[in-house]
Amino acid sequence: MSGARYLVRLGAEGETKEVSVEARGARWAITVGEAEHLVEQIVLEKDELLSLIVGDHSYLVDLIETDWESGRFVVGAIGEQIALSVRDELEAVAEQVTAAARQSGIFELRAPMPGIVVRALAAAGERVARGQGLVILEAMKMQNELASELDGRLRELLVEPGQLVETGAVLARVVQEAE
Amino acid sequence: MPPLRKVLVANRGEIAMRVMRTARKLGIATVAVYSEPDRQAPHVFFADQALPLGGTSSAETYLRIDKLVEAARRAGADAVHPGYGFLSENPAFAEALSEAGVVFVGPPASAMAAMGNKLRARALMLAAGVRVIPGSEGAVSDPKEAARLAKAIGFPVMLKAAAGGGGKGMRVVRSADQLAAALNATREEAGKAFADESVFVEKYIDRPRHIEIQVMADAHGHCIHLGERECSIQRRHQKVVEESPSPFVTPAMREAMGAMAVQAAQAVGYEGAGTVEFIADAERNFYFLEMNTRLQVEHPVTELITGLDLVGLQFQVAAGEPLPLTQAQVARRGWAMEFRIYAEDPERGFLPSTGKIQRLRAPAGPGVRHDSGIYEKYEVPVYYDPLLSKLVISGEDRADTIARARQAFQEFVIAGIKTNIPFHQWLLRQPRFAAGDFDTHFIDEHFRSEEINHDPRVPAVAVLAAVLAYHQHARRLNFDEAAARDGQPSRWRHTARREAVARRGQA
Repeated sequence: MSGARYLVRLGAEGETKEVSVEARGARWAITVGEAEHLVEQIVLEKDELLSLIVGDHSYLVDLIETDWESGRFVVGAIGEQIALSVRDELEAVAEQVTAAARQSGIFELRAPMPGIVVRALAAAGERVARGQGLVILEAMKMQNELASELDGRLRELLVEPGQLVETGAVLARVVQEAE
Repeated sequence: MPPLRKVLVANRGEIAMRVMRTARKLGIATVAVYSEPDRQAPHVFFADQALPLGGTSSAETYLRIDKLVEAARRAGADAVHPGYGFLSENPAFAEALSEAGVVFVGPPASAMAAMGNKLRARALMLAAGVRVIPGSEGAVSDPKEAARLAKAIGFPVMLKAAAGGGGKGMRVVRSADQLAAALNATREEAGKAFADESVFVEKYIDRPRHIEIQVMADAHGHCIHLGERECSIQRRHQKVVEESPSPFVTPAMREAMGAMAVQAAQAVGYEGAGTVEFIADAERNFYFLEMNTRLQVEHPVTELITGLDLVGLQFQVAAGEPLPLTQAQVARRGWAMEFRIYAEDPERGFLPSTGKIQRLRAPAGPGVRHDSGIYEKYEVPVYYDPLLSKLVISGEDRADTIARARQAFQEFVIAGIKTNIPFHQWLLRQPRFAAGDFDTHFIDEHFRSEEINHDPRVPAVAVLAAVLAYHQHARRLNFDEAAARDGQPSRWRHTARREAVARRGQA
């Protein structure tokens, strides 16, 4: 492989592919694993909408989410959307080290959307299991049960019934506990 | 009665737009009302006049009879169209408007009241000879009485808390020996949940299909039906996909259901557009469920196969005109399917999703209709129903319609919030759906969120696009950083500035 090298991961826990990119005349030579693709690109809307011709197959591609810092993307094509992340090789190695250090064993329950807290389903200090509901949040006339992603103890409950919360607000913290 | 001149639409979202389109077509001026968060909603821009209701929640705005009547008076509207939901089936709203001298585009308050109470409606329908689900006529507490009834009805039976609803306080009993215990448990549960231990016994339909008949009646005693809609693709009693005709209904069944629906409507002195809902079993026995005394969300599928404008007919009937066609003149052609586009995430248990619609590209082409209440950069508010729009597809026959729908969804892009578009694409790939072989349990029994992403070209193209974008972005940054390090302005910016200076020099 020659050119700039990247590691691409599909989805949250999908497989990782090695990809290299280099300019070749007016086109790009992009190698994914063993396969080389010649790609011609025009930008229809900067960082948003692209027309790609891969070989001679034509695709209209939406860059739906672009986080240049973390390399996370959501890309749409042919009526489907897919999440993936791109790192250059050096960054990828550095991140693996910090990720291991950050294994703190704390789960923060965050509001996935703005809404109103209906009630808590567990009390602070209580043991909770992974998948167990902690808080009921109402949004758009629907009640949604938000669950713990850890087996452990509910250390803090940070909201009360009737409280309006924004997306991303921390509602509760669960600390991992050994059996 | 003079023709209508100005209509206030007491609703929001796609249905407000839909109603206003027909009003405009007929030369009727349009008035929108809006809550504070809906100042940015498209129905407000679309109308000729727009009046604020003040307040945020539905209870403070679209459900306030006093505010809506006052708005109609202030705007000088001679009619109010309620859309669906909100006050559309509220007899008190119709009465308040009538007292204010404003036409309610809907049935008489008495017809709404009669159909609005499930028990009363059932008794009325029985008396009118409409087939209802066999069951007890009153609450049952004695296990012996329950056993006698269940035997007469035939197992399986359903025990249903009288005060229950939305799937709560219900229990299926498949044989006589389970009955007494189930009755006790249901009564206890009902007492706890609803403070009312009354329980009904009725026939349980094992593989139910939800099929409904559109009716239309005028003030001169004419009532016709416009055929059926198949609404069995539902989740949590919420319809998701509807079609007409139903792949399950035979011509004889259609005729019998249509006649029974007309009978039901006439029994309550119905006027305007209404829908009689039936539940059908695998042997094509069908039973009256309830009547929706308003325009339905899924009315477009009937419009596409009959060629009629149902909102237009509603206005004509409300203005006192007779129906412009007889039952024999109702023509039906081809097939139509409606896909409700909800702001919800099918990959995470259909959790509602709110936020800004960053991108919207609706499909187009033959047989594609998009009834929408959104636009690009629209912020979806958290306060109301999650229905964003409806994609309605028509074709020569069912297979043609499915093929068109698949194609349309390939073109459909909504980004910024999650929608159930991937669910629809999944559904359109299911062989059982294509074969018309489904019932109301289909989604619960068959949907798997991990089957959503399907086309192997998508990850392949996404990898190329994302790597290329990332690579070019990194190069752009590096170029700027390198230039900054050398104490030089970026060459890009430098060039741009020189050109700007040159242009200014020429001016």
